[in-house]
Amino acid sequence: MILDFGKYSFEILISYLSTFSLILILVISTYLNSKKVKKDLDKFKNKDPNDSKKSQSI
Amino acid sequence: MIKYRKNIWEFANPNNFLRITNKITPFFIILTIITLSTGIIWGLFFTPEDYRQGSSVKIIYVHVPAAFLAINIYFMMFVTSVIWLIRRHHVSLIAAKSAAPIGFIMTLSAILTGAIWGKPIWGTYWAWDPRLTSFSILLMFYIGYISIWQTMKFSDKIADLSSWLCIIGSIFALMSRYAVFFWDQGLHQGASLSLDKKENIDDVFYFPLLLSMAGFVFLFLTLLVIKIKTEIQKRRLNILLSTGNT
Amino acid sequence: MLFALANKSILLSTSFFVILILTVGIGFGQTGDSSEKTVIAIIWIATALSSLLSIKEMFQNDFEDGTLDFYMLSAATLETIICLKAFTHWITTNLPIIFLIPLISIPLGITFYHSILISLVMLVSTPALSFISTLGAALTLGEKGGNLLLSIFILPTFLPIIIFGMKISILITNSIYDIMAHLILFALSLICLAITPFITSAIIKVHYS
Repeated sequence: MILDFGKYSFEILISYLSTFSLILILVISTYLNSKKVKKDLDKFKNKDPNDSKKSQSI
Repeated sequence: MIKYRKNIWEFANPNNFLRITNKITPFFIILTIITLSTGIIWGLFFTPEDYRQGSSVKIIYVHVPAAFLAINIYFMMFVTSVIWLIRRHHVSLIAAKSAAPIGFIMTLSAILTGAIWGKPIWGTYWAWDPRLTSFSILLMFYIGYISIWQTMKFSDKIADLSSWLCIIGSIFALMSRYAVFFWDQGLHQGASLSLDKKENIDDVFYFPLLLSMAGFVFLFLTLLVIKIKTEIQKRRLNILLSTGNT
Repeated sequence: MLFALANKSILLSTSFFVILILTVGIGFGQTGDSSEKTVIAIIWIATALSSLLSIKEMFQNDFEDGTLDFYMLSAATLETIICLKAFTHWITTNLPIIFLIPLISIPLGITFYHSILISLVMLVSTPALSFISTLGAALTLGEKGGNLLLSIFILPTFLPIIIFGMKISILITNSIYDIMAHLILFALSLICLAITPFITSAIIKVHYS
């Protein structure tokens, strides 16, 4: 078995799993959030394309 | 055409920031994947066991980078909050705001992996050891900083308040750290990575650890850049919506 | 002082302290072993909580009825007024508690000599709590129902004082007693006196900018 680290393999696997699942939650939420905002922004820009002056300045 | 010297404050312009980070982000993602996977795989499968701690030493490749990031993200938040209060650069404020959840997750995972590691080695999941105490205090300050953003509506006033909260938090986190280290050094071993000390850990563990730390740092940078970009776009969208040209 | 008496805030905070101590003491009394160290921890936590409860009133009323505007305009600097506010907060909430500690610690099983020493420790360390409280009061100014938020912000900042105070109180119960311990806590209070008024006044100015 490749994931066998001897005496403490349970502890090692649990700690790696917990850390990376926490990080995965972070990554997925970041990705989904950025996708959503990008989509909203694109939708807004497509609605009035002649209004380019305002969408460039903050 | 006059070519003026570039300085770091140019990044404070959100448009410049977006233009530069759009180019950089793919490299960051690739670097993250390469360093993190090689560091973790090297550490997990190709390192020997420690003569005292057995194979449980392999937890170090997630524990130390997470703890390193947890402390340094708070320091970064302190610096960016001070920059916001002094120079009023919005990117700096947004950086502090978006770094906080990442730092919270890193603190949480450092505490979790430390507890799992502590059980076989010290015989207990949790002890009120100085280092563990100061990490739980750090977690409290992260919660306070995140909660001010979650509960109040965004405005420049809240931005100022959160920056002051971050500064207060850094002062008192430092004070608590010295308070808990005043009497004893506790169970936890000293820093295993320092530039000047001779008693560093062995090279066999050192290089994969450095790689996985680099991986965590790049992961943080990638997430931070994407979060800042999202936040800038969100605020732009809000401004467009509120100007009423729908 | 008279105003605080008229407001009954002294009575409120001291009775809160007594009731909290008694409730926790009765709860621990059922377990059969209430060691001196646990009791001291309870006393420290009760002190922190009872000074937390009265933080909100520190600036809130002045902010709502516009007295704070006059403070900002007046010749006295805002820092001076914050110092005075913190001092009155200390007199009205912490000082009565300090006088109560020798009385209330007898049923909890601390010897009289130790309780006198612990109340001396409290006397030099609680000013720090009052000065730190001004930070939280300024941060949640004008926020309706910011009490929960305030305790999230302020309880962690009490921690250095609580940690130092607990360690020194434990030293007292072990009969290793040194005047240096009091000096360290007094130094902490003086540091808070030096730092917090400036931060608090900066935070209050944020609300007016």
